[in-house]
Amino acid sequence: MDLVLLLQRIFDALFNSAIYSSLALALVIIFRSTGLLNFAQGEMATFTAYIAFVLLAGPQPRLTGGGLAGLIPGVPFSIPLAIFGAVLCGMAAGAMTERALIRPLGGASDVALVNITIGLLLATNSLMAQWWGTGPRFFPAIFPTGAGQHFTILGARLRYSTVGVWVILLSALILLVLLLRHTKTGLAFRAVSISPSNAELVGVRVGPTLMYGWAMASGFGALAACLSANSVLLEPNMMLRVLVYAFAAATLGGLDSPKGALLGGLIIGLSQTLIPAYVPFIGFELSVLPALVAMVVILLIRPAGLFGTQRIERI
Amino acid sequence: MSTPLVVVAKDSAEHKKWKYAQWLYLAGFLLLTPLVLEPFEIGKMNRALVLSVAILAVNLVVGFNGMLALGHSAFMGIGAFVTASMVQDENWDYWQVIPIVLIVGFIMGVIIGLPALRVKGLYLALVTIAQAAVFPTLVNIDELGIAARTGGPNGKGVSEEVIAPDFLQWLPGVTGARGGSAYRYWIIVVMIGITLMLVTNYLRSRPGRAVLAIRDNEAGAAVYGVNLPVVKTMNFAISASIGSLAGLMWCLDKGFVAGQDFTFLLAIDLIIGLVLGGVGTIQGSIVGGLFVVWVNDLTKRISIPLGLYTLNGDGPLAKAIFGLILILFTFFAPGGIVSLARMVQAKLIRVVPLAPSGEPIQPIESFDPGMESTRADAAMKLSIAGPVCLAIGWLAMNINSLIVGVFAFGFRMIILFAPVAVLVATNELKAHAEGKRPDSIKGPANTARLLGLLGTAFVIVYAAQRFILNY
Repeated sequence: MDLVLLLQRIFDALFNSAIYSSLALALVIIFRSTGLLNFAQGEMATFTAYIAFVLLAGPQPRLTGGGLAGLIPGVPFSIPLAIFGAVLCGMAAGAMTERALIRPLGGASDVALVNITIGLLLATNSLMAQWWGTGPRFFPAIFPTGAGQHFTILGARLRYSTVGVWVILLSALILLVLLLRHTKTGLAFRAVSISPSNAELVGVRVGPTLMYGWAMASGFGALAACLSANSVLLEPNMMLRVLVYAFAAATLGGLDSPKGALLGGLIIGLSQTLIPAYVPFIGFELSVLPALVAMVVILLIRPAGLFGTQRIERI
Repeated sequence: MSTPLVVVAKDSAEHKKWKYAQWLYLAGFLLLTPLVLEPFEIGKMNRALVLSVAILAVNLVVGFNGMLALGHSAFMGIGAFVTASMVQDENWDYWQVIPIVLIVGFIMGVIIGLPALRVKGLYLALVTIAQAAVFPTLVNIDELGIAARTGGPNGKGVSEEVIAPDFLQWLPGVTGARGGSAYRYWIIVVMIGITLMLVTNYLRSRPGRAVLAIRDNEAGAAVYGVNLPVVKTMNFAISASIGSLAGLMWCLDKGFVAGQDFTFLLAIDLIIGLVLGGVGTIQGSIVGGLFVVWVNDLTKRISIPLGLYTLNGDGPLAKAIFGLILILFTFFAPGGIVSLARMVQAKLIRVVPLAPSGEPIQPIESFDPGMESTRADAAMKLSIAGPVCLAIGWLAMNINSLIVGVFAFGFRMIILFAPVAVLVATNELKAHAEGKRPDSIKGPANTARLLGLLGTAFVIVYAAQRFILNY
């Protein structure tokens, strides 16, 4: 086996892994706090990428004809600033979603909550298509992606963008951990995710705390979308495929374990690139298959995922 | 609460009359569909009915067994591809493929259900989403001759035409321009009828009750001796085979099958239909299928000018409206359309159950309104509302706006309540003849009967006119 080629493939896979991990983290944060699966996570993220796009490029008419987007004032922001603004907008949108759509339902059934998020998925997706058109838009790269822009390690090329994405993801993660461990809000959030009713009894305001949770999750989603918008081209369905992988990653690692989401993203990203490369039976067309099969197999052995807490039924 | 318009004892002659009336409405709807609609509209109706069957399959798992499985688009796809391949490559007839499709669906259900049902709640949702997401790509595999069978990315067409044989030419609509789609409509209606009967009986049977028990309380069911894995897997497999049957009907209806038809988005459509119709009700599945297709069709005609900008529904907006409807229903009518219909029904009729002795548990007379005959008044209002709404609807149809158009359509449908007004008024007059009502009800009741009869006659004449114009 050609070691350099293997290393090269791993390096290439790392970029996608970071994106999957990031979106999976968003899913996990929401699942931990609210106990629901946010199907709209990908679309909400794409929406923030569009916001970054508007902040960068100024008002953009639709691909055909004038659109409502023409009414939004655009400021030529620098790329990092635009992404930062988009992440903030995403966080606000996430918090608003929790307040407006999830909290009023209270402890509704899984089906109802899934419906709300599916409804949100459809609505966001098509509104984006209405606003910005369905054609792909060019989103500028935050890191240099040119021909010579890479480190060379043992003959394999590690792109600056891959390193950059991981640096951003890890620093956001460290920020999140610090927030959870050392602030009062973080403490409240941890209490709510362990037991909402007990947290409420000791005086934690559950509602606003969950709002923070949604804001954090949407922030991670927004990061994922803004960082990947350059390589997959910005279009309304951009994150739909990524979302399936992120679901797989989150399930693989355990839906309530951030550590699991990170690792799950890595596993999915690597298996997506490596398995089609070394198993002749599976072409690139089917690259989604091994990841999903891996997910099912792991769920069979550990029904709560690799790091998820096993559920114990109380009668 | 006001008293319902009609109170009958269960299984009495009166109750039967109302049941027949219900069946008449249904039969009228079924008969008029192929006669009145245009061929392409019948095609849409077919698609709606096919989706209804698939939604019924989803309902069996989600609504009746409480397991959140979202991947039935894949089972539909399996059924559709098996059908296309057998009919096109092996020259089988469609009806010969039915048992094959059912068996294949059942086996696939067991294969996927056995591992999938080990996981619970949202994890199951994720596994089944993975199943739905991966299916369209699986169709394209070159190995094992799969791509040759399924036509790969190009899809597979079935060249056999479905046309009514000579001995079925008497079916409404199957001759003339709309012949093909109307004949397929009748095949689908018959298949749905049989499926509904089987599913209803299944849910009343011992395993069916076990399925419901698992939904209501899993631990409790286990304590009572329900074998959880066996019952769950069986139910999942039965649901999968019904899903495959829907796939067969899809192939029969469209004559063309492609992997791109059975994506995650179809799975989402099924879930929308399930929720809008009513989770855990059989009627809800059927209504849900109709709703998904026809609302989509209506939203496509939207066109709202907003200054420089025009909102057009035939673009991506249709999906946004669906999303909005889904959210609104989850908030305000979590029981779906069926629960709304039941609310209306509760205002119209109350069926008093029988005690073991055969007597109604509460005397029917105790439901009679006192001296003020609210019932005859209500019947009169109902009979007047029909024509008035019809007129409003007719005027509103001229306003070129879809939202108004939909309301106008709904308004015009109120005329269909005219026969109800006639029946209620007749009831009241009979009660008056027996001396149970004051004389003051005579006026309103007579008006209601007259207007109701006129409305009924109008509906019949209108339908006949449409019928003649179409031929």
